[in-house]
Formats: sequence, structure tokens, C-alpha cells
Amino acid sequence: MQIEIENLTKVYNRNVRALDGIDLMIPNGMFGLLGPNGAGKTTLMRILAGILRPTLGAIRAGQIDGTTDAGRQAIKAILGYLPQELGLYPDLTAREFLDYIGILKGLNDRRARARRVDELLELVALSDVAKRKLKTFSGGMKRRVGIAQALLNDPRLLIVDEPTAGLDPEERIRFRNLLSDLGGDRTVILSTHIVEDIAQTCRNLAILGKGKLLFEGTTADLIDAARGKVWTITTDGPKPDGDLTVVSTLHLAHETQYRVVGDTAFTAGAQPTDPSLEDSYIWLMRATRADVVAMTSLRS
Amino acid sequence: MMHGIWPALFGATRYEFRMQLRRKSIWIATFLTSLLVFTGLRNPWNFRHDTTLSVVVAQWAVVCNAFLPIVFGVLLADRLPRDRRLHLPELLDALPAPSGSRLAGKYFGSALATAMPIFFIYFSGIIYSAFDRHDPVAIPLGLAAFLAINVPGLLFVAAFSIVMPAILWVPLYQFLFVGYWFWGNLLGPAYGIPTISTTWLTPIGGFAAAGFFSQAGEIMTMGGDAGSVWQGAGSIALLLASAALALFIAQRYLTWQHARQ
Repeated sequence: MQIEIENLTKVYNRNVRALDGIDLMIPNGMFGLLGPNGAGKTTLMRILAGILRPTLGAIRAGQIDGTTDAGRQAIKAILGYLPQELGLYPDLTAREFLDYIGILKGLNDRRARARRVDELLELVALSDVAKRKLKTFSGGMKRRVGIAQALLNDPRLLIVDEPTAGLDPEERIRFRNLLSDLGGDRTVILSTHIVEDIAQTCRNLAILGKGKLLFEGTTADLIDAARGKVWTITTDGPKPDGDLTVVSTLHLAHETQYRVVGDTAFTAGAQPTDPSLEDSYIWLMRATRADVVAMTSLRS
Repeated sequence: MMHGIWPALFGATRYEFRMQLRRKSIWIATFLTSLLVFTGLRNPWNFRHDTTLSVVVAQWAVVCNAFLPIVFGVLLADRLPRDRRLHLPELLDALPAPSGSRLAGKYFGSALATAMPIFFIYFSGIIYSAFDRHDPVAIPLGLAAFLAINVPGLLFVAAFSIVMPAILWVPLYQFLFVGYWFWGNLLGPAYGIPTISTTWLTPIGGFAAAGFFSQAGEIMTMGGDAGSVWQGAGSIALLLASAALALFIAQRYLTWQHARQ
């Protein structure tokens, strides 16, 4: 399912402009949404999930017009949503909670619903604790309940907002793999500020900043755009300074190796290096702040 | 998949009932408050045996309804804000089930669960009467009295306790509710303070008790002219209509509030 977003604007009370004229096309498969805190990612997710109404603009999900009440309702019927702040009923068991959400998603056949709940508990490795109350669950287990509830109705559109927050490294990898598998035959929108999660799962991405679209394209496009802007500097002297951003610092035996992002090499001995997606993201955010480039021109 | 009103309503009722029933506080608070009821003078064991069974049963229903709905209303007041506190609206609002079904399910499920301890306390008195008078009719009569006298008042209280916290801070609502209860139900006109305690809009159930279960004057009321079947029916209808209206307005308000976000 393809999602088309046109001139999407959201102005909250007191004239806070959370989204400002976003034009975006989200293809089938995994799609990453990156941006710093306050960029407007969660607002965009909430509008796509039908929770918020846009102030201006249009959304089309496949054949569904997402700007009407009927359209929003139709999108909810094919949607799986994992919000950033996942609320659960602490006094229900995992199985009861999933059963309840299943009912609210319109899975009215009791046996089919029970089967689906069992399948998903198995998928997220919670079968053994299905009868335990949710208040006894760890943060990671709660996130897994969250992804299970999102998948109950086998959604054609899956929106996950910061899904790996609070997960340990192993759980994160398992979760990323699960999302990638799901992205094979549906649209999965992954919103995060963890660049690594996008790098490992998404071919296409968009970057938001202060409610505006800063970049839309493939991860390869973004990496290409930052080529020649990433350097490693190995020195036993002071930390490099100037108009650059230190991305990482690695202490070696007698020297320190810095990985920096900047427009030029400031120091003799700076070696150009291949950018990672994280470097490219940092470069883009720097460039945006400096107002150096017209970001949307980066579209491939 | 069907996203109908009724499956969502029944599902929400079932799970709201289950969650509320698991709260220890509804059992503890109701049984503690029942001490007020059990130490009163109009309990089944305080009537002489020449008093008719229907009067004993109805009076017991009114006595239970005089105090236990206070704790009932207070315990229901956190149900709507609790969802917000647990960050649930974002998840629930993204589901296709109508929000009205969820609200109605919350109302019926949590009201039914909170009424369970009240019913047990009330029914213990009915069982006592059945044994004391060797009259099994006390059981169906007791059920009928509970339905006619207690249930309309409880549904009325539940509606306001569920919806008012949408606009009022919960502790403030609880404080105002307890004040209202004593003023609007237990304060007779003899005190010289204007009160609604003798009107049809009195959830304590005096009109239904007097109208359906006894001759005028046999049931303790707050001094009004309670007596006829029509007045009893009118009081029940008014209480239920007020509850339905409160829920309807709350649903419209919540929808409007949501659309403004």
C-alpha cells in the first residue's frame, strides 16, 4: 500500500506549527522516519493513525482518502499502531489484553481471535508468561506485547513509533528482524531517532526537522550526499575543534581517533572515510542548522 | 472483520468489569462502609415479625442505598482519568471500535463490578429474612427490590461518576459527590435548607420503595409525598434518563475535545 501525503500541516493550539507543508510518498515495504526530538515525527504518525486531524493537507492510503472521517475509520481498520508511549492495563494478563484489543479491532470470532492471540504470543516469545499480569512485565516484555497487539488484525499498514526504546541489544535485533519480515508484504513506517535501526531495516527514509521535510529518498542517496564530509583524525594532541561535529571518539594505545563530520578537513592528517547512515544524518542536521543547502534538493 | 457497536460494547463491558472486580479497594471500602448499614435500626433483624415482608425487604434496600452508593460513586470516579494516566487513549483511539462503545462498556462493566459487593451485602440481609421468616419469597422479592430501588440509583450515580471526571479533578469530584449525596439524599426539608432529597431525582430510591413495595408512610423517606406506583416509575425513569443524558453529553464532549486536538 502506498501512502501519499500532500501539503500536510498541523498547527496546535497557541499557534505551535508541528508539521509545515509536508509532501511525502511512502512506498510499500519498510520506511524509516528520522528526526530529532520535536521534529514532528510523532505528530505525523498520529495523523496517519487517524488519532489527530491535520490542519491542512491531504493523505491517501491506497484508495482511501484519509482526510475524511470515513477514510480515517477505514484506515484504522487496516492499521496496526505501536505508539511511543505504550499504555497497557496492568491488571490484565497478556492474553486478556490482546483478546480485548482484538475485540476492539473487530476480531469478533472468539475462536479465531484466541488462535491469533496464541500465534502472536508465540511470535513475540511471550507464550510462557501469557497468564501473568502485565504489571509484572519488564519494559522489553511490554514492548513485545505492544507489537503483538499491533499485529492482531494482520494490518496492511503498520506504524511503529520508537519501537526499540527500552529493549536490550538482543531484543532490538530480534525486533528489527521481525519488522523487516513484516515489511515484505505491507507498508511499515518506522519512526525513530536511532539511526542504526533505520540503517538495518529500511531502504527508503524521510528526515524531519522542526516540522519540515529535510530529506526524502533512499538510505544510499543520503549516504552519497555526505560523501567527502566525513573524516577520521588520529592524534595525540587536543580534540579537534572548529566547524565540525565529532561523531565518535576511540581511545587507542597512545593516540585518540576521532570520527568527524565537516565540510572540509581542518587538520593535516585527516583522512576522508566512507560515511555511515549516522554520519550522513549528522551532516544533514548540521547543514540544516547552518542553512547551507536546500535540503529538498537532495531528493534523488 | 466487523467494527460494530455491539461487539465492542460487550467486549469493553466484559474487560472493564474484570479489571474493576480485581481491585481490592472496592471490596474493602464497601465492606467497611457497610458497618454503617449493619448498625442502623432498619435492618432485617430489627423489624417485628408482624411487619410485612415487602416492607422489610424494601426498607433494607433503601438503607443499603443510603450509604453504600457513596463508596460506589467515589470508586468509579477514577475510571476515565485512569486510561489517560496509563497512556491508553493513544492506543485505543487508533482502533476502529467506536469510542461511544468503549465509554458505554466502561460504564456498564465498572458499574456492575463495583455494585457486586453492594449486592452481596444487601443479599445477606435478604437471606437472613428468608430464614428468619421461613419464607423463600424473600429471595425473588429481594431481587425485585434491588432492581427497582437500588439499580436505578446506582446507574444514575455511575453515569455521573464516570463522566464528570472528564472535566473535574477526581478528588474534587469525589468531595463534591459526597457533599451532594448527604445534601441531595439524606437531608430532609425539616432542616430548613433547600434540598432535592424529596424529589423524584433522589437516587436513594424512596419513591420506588414506597410506590412498589409498601403502603404510603411505611417506608422511611425524607418526608416527601412518596407513595404511588406512578411516582415510583417516574422516579426510576427520571434517574435512568438522567444517566443516559449524562453519558450522551459526555460522549459528545469527548468527541469534540478529541477533534480539537
